[in-house]
Amino acid sequence: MPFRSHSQPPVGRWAVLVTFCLAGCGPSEQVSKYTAPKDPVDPDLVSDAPTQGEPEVRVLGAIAEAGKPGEESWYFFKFQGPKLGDSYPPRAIERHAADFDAFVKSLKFPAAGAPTWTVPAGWRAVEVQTQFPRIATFRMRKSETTVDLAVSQTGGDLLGNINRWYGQAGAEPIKADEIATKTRVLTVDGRKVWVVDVSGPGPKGGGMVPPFAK
Amino acid sequence: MSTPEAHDYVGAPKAGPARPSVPYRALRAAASLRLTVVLFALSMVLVFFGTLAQQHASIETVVNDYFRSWFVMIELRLVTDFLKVFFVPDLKSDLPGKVPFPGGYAIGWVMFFNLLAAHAIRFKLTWKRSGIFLLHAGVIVLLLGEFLTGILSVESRMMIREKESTSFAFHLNQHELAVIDPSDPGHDTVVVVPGSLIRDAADGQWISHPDLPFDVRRDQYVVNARVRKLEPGEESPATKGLGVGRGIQSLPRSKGTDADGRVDYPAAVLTLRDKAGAELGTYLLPTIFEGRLQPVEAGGKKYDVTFRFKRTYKPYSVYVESAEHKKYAGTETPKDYASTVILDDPEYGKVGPIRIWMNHPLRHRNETFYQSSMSTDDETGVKLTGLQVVENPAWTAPYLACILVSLGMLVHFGIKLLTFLDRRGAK
Repeated sequence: MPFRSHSQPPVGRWAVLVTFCLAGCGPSEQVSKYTAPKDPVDPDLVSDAPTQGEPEVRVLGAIAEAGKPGEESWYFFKFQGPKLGDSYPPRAIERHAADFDAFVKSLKFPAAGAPTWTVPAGWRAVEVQTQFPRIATFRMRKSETTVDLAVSQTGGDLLGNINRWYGQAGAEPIKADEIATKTRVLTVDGRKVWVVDVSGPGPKGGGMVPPFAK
Repeated sequence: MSTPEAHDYVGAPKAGPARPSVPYRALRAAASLRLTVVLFALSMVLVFFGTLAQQHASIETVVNDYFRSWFVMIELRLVTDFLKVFFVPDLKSDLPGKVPFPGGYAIGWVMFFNLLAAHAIRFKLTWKRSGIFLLHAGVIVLLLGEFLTGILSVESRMMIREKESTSFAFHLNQHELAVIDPSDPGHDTVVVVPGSLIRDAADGQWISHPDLPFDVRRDQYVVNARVRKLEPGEESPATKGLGVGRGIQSLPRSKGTDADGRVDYPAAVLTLRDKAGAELGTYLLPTIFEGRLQPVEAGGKKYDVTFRFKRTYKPYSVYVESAEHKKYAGTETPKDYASTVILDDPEYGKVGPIRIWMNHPLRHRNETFYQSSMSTDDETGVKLTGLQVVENPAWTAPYLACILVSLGMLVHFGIKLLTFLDRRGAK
């Protein structure tokens, strides 16, 4: 049975329309004026193209300790396309930056197993074929660019990983004593988290990245 | 053997006046069983050609031209179309010309009066014929219901992304030029010029109205168009807006036999002139790009202009909480789709969540919302649901007609059975 909500007999309109139709003509269309709610923004029409002088690429991600301090095992939470080293224009990243911040602060690190989180509204978990396995991939869109956030686990030293991301943005590498000032260091659920946010012209030499670089 | 005039289904002639008057003779002529047979035959011919016509025109056009009209000009090429498919595949030429034929309204109304006249002339109100009366009452309800549906029903569509809402429906076969004043941050003020005014205007004709901030001249109108790149040396019809550097190509009109339910996307080339008489430029306005608003400045104020599918704003909004799009495993063939919606109506409050799926529509404010289409964005996975919104005050007529006809048949054949059993028992 169809769900029936509310109804009211349109007696007046019936009478007018039947009169018109039996008279052999319908009401003719005229120019009209009304107020209407504004249309929602169509993402396809929101451009992320950088204007002249703006950086081409923004790399935004967080690195969290995956083991005990000094174990050199890390969780990566990074805006990253399906291919290695895929990056996004700064305007596309900016539209999701606040959600990313809330996502990072919602992280929980259980004693065993992968971290958990609260997924912001508008993010959708997707299955993506990648060269290296991921813990999760979230997909989102507020503009012409569809953006993925990749969650993965890997090793290596902290500085090397940060500088790899710097390289993807086309920025100069940083030194070990600059980690505290060039990244945002948070403590989330008792773990140290480094938020890396760097913009630049994009990778030098065609964006080649080593195979472990996810 | 009984004659047709004496049969239960058609009624036996009642005793009329000895010297029938002219109105009585007219009534008797209107009640003619021969006329009934002719009307049924004409109906079949109309349905036959109305079906064939769908390979050249959209379903909506055919329904309006053949079935919701008083007469129709049937194209004779439909006959050759039919012959080519079934009998003479090598037939090269098409029959030219058109033949006038009574349309659905004409046949339906004559059938209606034929039936009423038959009851006035032939049918006696007896218990024995109560089934026939019920059955014919069902036919009358069906005929009147279809007529009212034809003149009163309005069909439109809502396209809503999952987790988004909308408060307007658009009409697939009507269009409008919208001039939007976006200066108020809370809402838009919109002046709409019906697409029919532009379609029916001549090239070079101006359209003016006190509510319009500028006058509009039709330079070109294409019923179904696509936007294309310019050929080398070709000039763009547009001097401003997104049409600069582009042209339009006329496409064949959509047809009822198109498998994918295609619709026409008209395009217009319009020159705008402010109220002081200064030209503001020539714009290419294709409905296929209706979301790309084109800025126009007139009288010191900024407006957005678009040629779009006609909208009807509702006094409520529909929010799609979730959308289900199931496909047969390993294929893109849709298996099932459904939308769970919440209606937010200031007058009635929030209604829902309600799940709408095949044959399970939602009814609200005399409108029925059917699940009509579903698509999933391959890239983002966001689902886009299409709800067909039908406002038809006569929607109950077919149900009532079916009940009456079924009941009539049950009663009639029940009486026949009992009469037969009585006769057998008497023997």
